[in-house]
Amino acid sequence: MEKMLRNKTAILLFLAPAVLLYLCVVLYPILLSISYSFFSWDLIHPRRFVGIQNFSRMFTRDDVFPVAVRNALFFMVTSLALQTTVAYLLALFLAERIRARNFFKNVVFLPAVIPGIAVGLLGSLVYRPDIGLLNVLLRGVGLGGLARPWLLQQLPALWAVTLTLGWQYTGYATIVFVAGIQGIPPDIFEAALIDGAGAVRTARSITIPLTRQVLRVEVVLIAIGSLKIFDLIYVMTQGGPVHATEVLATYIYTRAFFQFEYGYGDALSVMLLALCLLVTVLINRVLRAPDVQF
Amino acid sequence: MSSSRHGPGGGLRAARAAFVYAFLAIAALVVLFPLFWLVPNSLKTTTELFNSPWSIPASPRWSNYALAWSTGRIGVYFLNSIVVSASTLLLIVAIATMAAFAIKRLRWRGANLALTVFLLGAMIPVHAVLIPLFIQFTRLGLIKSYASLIATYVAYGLPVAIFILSGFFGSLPAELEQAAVLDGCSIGGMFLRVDLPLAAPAIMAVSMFSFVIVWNELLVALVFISDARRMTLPVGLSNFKGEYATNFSALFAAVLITMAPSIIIYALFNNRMIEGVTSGAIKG
Repeated sequence: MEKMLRNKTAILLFLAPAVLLYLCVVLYPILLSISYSFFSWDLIHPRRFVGIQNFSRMFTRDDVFPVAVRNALFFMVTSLALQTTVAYLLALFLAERIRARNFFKNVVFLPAVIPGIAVGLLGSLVYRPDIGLLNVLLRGVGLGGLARPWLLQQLPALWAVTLTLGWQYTGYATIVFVAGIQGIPPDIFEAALIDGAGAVRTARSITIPLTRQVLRVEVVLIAIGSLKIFDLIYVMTQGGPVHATEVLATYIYTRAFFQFEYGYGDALSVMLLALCLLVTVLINRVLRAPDVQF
Repeated sequence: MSSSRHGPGGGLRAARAAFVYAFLAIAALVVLFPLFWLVPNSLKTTTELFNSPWSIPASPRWSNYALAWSTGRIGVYFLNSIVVSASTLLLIVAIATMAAFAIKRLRWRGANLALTVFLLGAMIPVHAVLIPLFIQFTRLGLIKSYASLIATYVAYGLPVAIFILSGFFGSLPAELEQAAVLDGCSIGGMFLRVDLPLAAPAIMAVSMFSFVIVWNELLVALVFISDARRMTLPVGLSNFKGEYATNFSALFAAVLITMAPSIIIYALFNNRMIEGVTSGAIKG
């Protein structure tokens, strides 16, 4: 038995497909990506080594790159604020034994399974100036003065996308938080109740500290998800008006596949990778939670 | 978590319950209202959309759906998406089950290291390798076939799938395979007859997780597929938006058709789907 489970050929055969695919489509391309970022290349002429010029260009001779980074950070910060607060509140309520709990859970999670492109199209219809739901609602309640072409001005457009992103993913965070809260042994809550702690006090001193693990995971997921945002921008604003809502992912796409600057586009994607890794490490540092065992 | 059930706290409790339900009801309304808003609008004429935004369509124009489905080619995109998603799912499940089996059920040094290396893959956004993948697949002449798309989806689906499945295989007792081995089973037979059937719930979770990601994926498909006859649903829908920019009622119908499969599958399997999709929450 033991000998059979140590059979080297069997182990290799079972692992081979995963390892091969992983090497060819994940690890090798990462190395290629880093090396391409030092070249200027349009795929027609031979590539030309340019050292770190692609990177210096981003910071000195590119007006769009800083905007794209700022917007990606805007989505990260606003999504973190919006999604974690609303989701945690919802989770606190949904972790209780209340009526219609499953109904509410199912409804808030629903948008997380819908294609981002369909959510983006729905968003672009909702925010349309003429027939859009938002302006129609505003006019309906006599606030027509507030109606505006939401997606055609920078700040309203950025907020519109943040809200759409929140609409899609707050329910996901909610369910992750509910699972975390329900992992806390009930007798801890009973003890708090006997000690006379109210709902707010219980949440602050017990629930939140004891769910730091899921909070950390969710904060990373939301942060990285917002930094990488592509679908909603692509369909709702196309990065416009005039690059005002451009993010790194849409900018990489445009540079590489429309302007055929593969080297520069690739350097941008290396920056996105670095930004994602940096943010992940930082969040894990800041929110490092002692492993709670019950 | 429930506050006191008796005594002077009763009034406070009722107020709190009212607040909780109000909050939940508003959340549900915010989620559902835009979705329901799509339905009547998808059955109107474009003139009706502009002139009577709140009314029910005078006579439902089902032709909006026909237009989106056939002339707008949503039907073709739909079939393409089924082909791509089904192949991807099958491969992810097969390859990840085998790898997780080798990592957790077979005995070798380095198994834990292998698991860690696979899981690190979950931290790499596909954006970072889009350009090298595009260039390499073009060179290999694979960019026009689904092979490039499916290989990418499978590779980026593997980390989470291996995470879920190895968690499951790790929780099984060590003596599990003994009886099978004594009966003269080979390792392959043991995998197929003992481990694979037991892993059904974990495979379900992996399938749910992967389906949602692959069925909804836009960026890679957008870069890899330029032929309109081969586009998947997300790419096709973005294409449709460009072609039918002014035919709003057809656009409403197209959005609903695109959402329909996800919503139907969710309606059927909501609990398993929620469990599967959130079981991939491992970043960090």
